Amino acid sequence: MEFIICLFSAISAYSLYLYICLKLSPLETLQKLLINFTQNYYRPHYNYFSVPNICSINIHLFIYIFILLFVLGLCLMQLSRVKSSDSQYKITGSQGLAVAVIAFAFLLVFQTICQIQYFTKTINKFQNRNLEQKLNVIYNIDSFKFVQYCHKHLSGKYKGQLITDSDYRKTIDPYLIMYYLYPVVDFRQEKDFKKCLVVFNKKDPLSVIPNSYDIIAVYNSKSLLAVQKE
Amino acid sequence: MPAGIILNLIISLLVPTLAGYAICLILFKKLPFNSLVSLSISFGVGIGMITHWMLLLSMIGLTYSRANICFPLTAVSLISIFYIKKNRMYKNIDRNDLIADKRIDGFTSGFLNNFSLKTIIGIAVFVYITFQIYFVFWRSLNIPICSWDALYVIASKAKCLFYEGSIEPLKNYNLSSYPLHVPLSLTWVALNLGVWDEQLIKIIFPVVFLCYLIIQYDFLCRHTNKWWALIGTGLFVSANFPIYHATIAYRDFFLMYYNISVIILLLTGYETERDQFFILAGLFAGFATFTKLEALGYFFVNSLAFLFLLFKMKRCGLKEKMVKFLKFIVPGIGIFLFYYLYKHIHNIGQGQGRFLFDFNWQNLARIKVILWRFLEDFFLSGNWNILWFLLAVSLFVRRASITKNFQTKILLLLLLLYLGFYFIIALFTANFISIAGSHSYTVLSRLILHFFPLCPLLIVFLNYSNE
Repeated sequence: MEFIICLFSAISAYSLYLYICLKLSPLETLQKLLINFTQNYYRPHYNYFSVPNICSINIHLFIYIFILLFVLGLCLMQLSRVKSSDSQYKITGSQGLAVAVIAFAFLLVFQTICQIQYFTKTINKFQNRNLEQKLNVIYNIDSFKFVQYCHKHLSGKYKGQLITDSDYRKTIDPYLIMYYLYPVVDFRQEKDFKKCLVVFNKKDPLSVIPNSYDIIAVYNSKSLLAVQKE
Repeated sequence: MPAGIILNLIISLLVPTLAGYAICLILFKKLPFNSLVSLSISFGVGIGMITHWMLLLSMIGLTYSRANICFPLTAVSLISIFYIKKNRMYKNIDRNDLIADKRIDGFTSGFLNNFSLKTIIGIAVFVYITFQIYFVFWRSLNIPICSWDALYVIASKAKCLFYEGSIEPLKNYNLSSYPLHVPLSLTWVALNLGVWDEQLIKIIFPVVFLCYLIIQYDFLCRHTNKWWALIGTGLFVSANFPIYHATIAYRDFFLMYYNISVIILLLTGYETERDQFFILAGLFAGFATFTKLEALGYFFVNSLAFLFLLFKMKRCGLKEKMVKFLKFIVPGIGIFLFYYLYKHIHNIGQGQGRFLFDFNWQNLARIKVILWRFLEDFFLSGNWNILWFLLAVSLFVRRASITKNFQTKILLLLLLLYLGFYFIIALFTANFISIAGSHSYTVLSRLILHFFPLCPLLIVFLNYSNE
C-alpha cells in the first residue's frame, strides 16, 4: 500500500515538475514522452546513440528525476513514520535499487520496441538486393554516383590523385571515392601506372588540369576525370 | 548463398580456431574449459596468430595466398593437437587439473529446476539475448562496409592488403602507425572467399561478439550461478553501443574482446593458481596491442591490477610472484615489440605524438569539461541504456559487498584505473580535443566501450553477493 501511495505521490510531483519546467500540460508531456520512447529511442548516428529531448531536456534526465523523487517520497514516508513512533516500516537502499531496476526494465522495453522497428525498416531496405543496390541505398549521395560514373569511364589501372574542395574532416566523400575507386585507381602507391586526376566538388575544375592531361569525362560543373596523355 | 562460399567462410573461421586450440592445448595439455568456451578463446588466439603470420610473411617478402597462410598453420596445429592428445592418452592426468576443471566448470548449476518469477525473467532474458545475436549477425552480413573509419582506415587498408598481397610499403597507407590486426583479419577472410566481398568479410565481427558473450557468461557462471550469468549477459547486450559496434567494421569491439578477456583470464589464473592462464592473458594483451594503439595503455593498467593480484597471493614467495608476472608480461611485450620494431625498421611513426604530456597548470581548467563529458556519455547518451546509473546505485546501496567479494574489488579497481587513465590523458595531452572536445562524442564512447563490460560484471557481482 505504502508503495502505491509513494508511486502516486512521486508521479504527481513529477507531473507538477514537468508542468512548471516545460510549460506543457502533463497530458501533453506524457504524450511526448510516449512518442519519444516508442519511436525515437533507438537512433544510431555516426556510431553514437543520442537520446531524444523534450523541450531541450534529455529524457534520461526525466527518468533520474523520477527515481530521485520516488526515493525522496520513501524517505519522507519514513520520516513521518518515525515521528508517529511507528518503527515497523523501514526504508532500505534495496527499494531505491528496485526502482532503478524497474526504470531500467521500462527503458529496455521501449528500446527493444524501437530497435525492432529499426530492424524491420533495415530488413525492408536491404533484403533481396544485390551489393550495388544496397550501396545505392546507403550512399544516395553525389560522391557515390560520381564513383559509379568514374568506373564506367576508366579502364585499366591508374595512379590517382584526388582534387577536391570537400573538407576531409567534415565529409566522408573523399574517403568514399578513394575506397570505391580502388583497385582501378590507386591513390596510395608509387606505382608505374598511368596518372589520373579525379576532380570532385571543385570550383573551376578545369583550372587544376595541366596541359599534359586529357579530360576523359565530365560529371558536372564541379567534377571530372582527367588522364595523363600517352 | 552457394555452398562453396559457406564452406570458405567456415574455413576462414575454422583455421584460426584450430591454431588457437593448438596453442591452448600446448599450454594446458588438457583444456580447463568446456568446449564452447575453449572455442571462443581459441578463436581469439588463432586470429591473432594468423594476423601475425601474415605480418611475418610480409617481412620475409612472401605474398598472401590461402596456401601460404592456411597450410603451414593448419599442419602445425594438427600435428600439435594429435601429438598432445596421443601423449595424454598414455599419461595420467594431473590431479590438480581435475580439481581445476571442477572448480572452473561454470555450466553445471541450473536455474530451470524451480519454476518461479526468476525462471520467467531468465527465459525472457534468454530470448532477448538470442534476438540481439540474430540482429548482430544479420546486420553484419547484410549491410556492406559503410562507416567513416572503416572506409578511411580499416577496410581501405584491408582492401589494399588483399589486392597487393603484402603490407609493403606500409608508410603509404592512411594512418600507417595504426596496428593491423583487424585489417589483416578482414584480408584473411577475403583471401578465403577469393573475392573482396563487402558484406561477408565482416563475419569476424559477429563471431567475436558471440565469443565474447560465451566468455563473459562462463566467467559469471563460475562466480555466481546460471541465472545471474544470464542477467549479466543480458545487461551487456542491453547497451546499444556494443551491439552496434559488433556489426560495423571498426576495431573497438575487437579491442574490448581482448581487453576484457585479459582481465577474465588473469582472475581465473589467480583463482585456480595455474600459470598457463597468465601466459594466455599475456597473448591476449599482446594481440590487443596489435588491434589499437590504446591497448598499450590498457596493458599497463592490467599489469598494475595483476601486480595487485600477485600482492594478494600470500602463499607465493617473491621469486615465484616475479615468475608469474613475467609469464604475463613477456608474451604481451613480445607480441607488441614485433610490430613496433617492424614500424621502427621501416621508418613509420609510432603514433606517440598524441601522447606527449604537457603538465601545465592551465590544463586544470579542463577538469570541469572532462568530467561533464564523461557524465554526459555515461548517463545521458543512449549508448549504454542506464547501466552506468544502475551501477552507481548498486555501488551506493551494496557498498558493504565491495569488500566482501574479491572479484568486485578487482573489477572496481580496474574501472577506476581505466577512468583515471583517460582522465589524465585528456587533462595533460593533446587528446583533450578528441576525448572532451566539441566533436568528441564518438571518440569517447568508443574509448568507454573498451572497458564497458566491467559495468554489467560489477552490477552482477554487487547484487549477487547480497543474495
